[in-house]
Amino acid sequence: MSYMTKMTKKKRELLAEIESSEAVSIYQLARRTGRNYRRVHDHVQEFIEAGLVQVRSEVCNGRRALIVESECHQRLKRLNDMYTFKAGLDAAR
Amino acid sequence: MQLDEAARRLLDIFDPDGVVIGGICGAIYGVERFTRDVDLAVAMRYEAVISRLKEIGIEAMVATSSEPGDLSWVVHGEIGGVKFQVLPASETGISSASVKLKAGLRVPDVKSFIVSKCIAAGQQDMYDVAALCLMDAALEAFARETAEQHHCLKKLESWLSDRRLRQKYLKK
Repeated sequence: MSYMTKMTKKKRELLAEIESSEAVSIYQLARRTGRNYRRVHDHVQEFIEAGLVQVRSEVCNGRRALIVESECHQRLKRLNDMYTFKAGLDAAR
Repeated sequence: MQLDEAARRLLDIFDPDGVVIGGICGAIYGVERFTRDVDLAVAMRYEAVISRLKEIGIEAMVATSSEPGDLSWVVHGEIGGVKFQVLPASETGISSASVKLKAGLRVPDVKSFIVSKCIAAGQQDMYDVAALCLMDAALEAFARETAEQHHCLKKLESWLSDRRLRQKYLKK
């Protein structure tokens, strides 16, 4: 059985929140969903292991934050990278 | 300005009537194809679109057409160095009921996106539909039916059997 099919309702809701919003910190996710930070952190860890999200570290207001990105964010980033590369080529011409 | 930032700015300008379609929407659903502009479908008249853009200092021009099969209007402009087109939602098969939020962008759900692509029915559009079907086989019957309704089934079938496309998307 795949990870997606055995996911609990709460985890599905959390994943939907990550996919729908812009890149978001675990702290913000916990606040938005009204859930415990530790629980959200553990669920995000499971999503990472299942290849559903990625996390990067970022300093916000002087504090280190873990930013969660879904596959949609990664795809948009790749498109932006291609766009920047081609725009650079066009400018060089 | 990056493509997604331009799309966000445009969605803000036309909030809540705008939906991102075209290459950016395709990318969100997993289609890896380069695009250099932002396509937006809006539930507004083109006069209102131009006026809304003018209010914030963006000069835009409209191209109108009465040719069968063409969109009746398309507004062209540029924001932060990124070119964009605004299209009439009613003619692109996009309704507000089908809108989803993905990565903070308002996009049509995948089936409405397929409908919009079948209405446009260009080679690139059918490439996108075929890629979506290859990534998710559950979409194929719907896509075939929609393509048949819009007389572009042959193009879709051609892309569905394209060896390179199959290699690229079937593994996903």
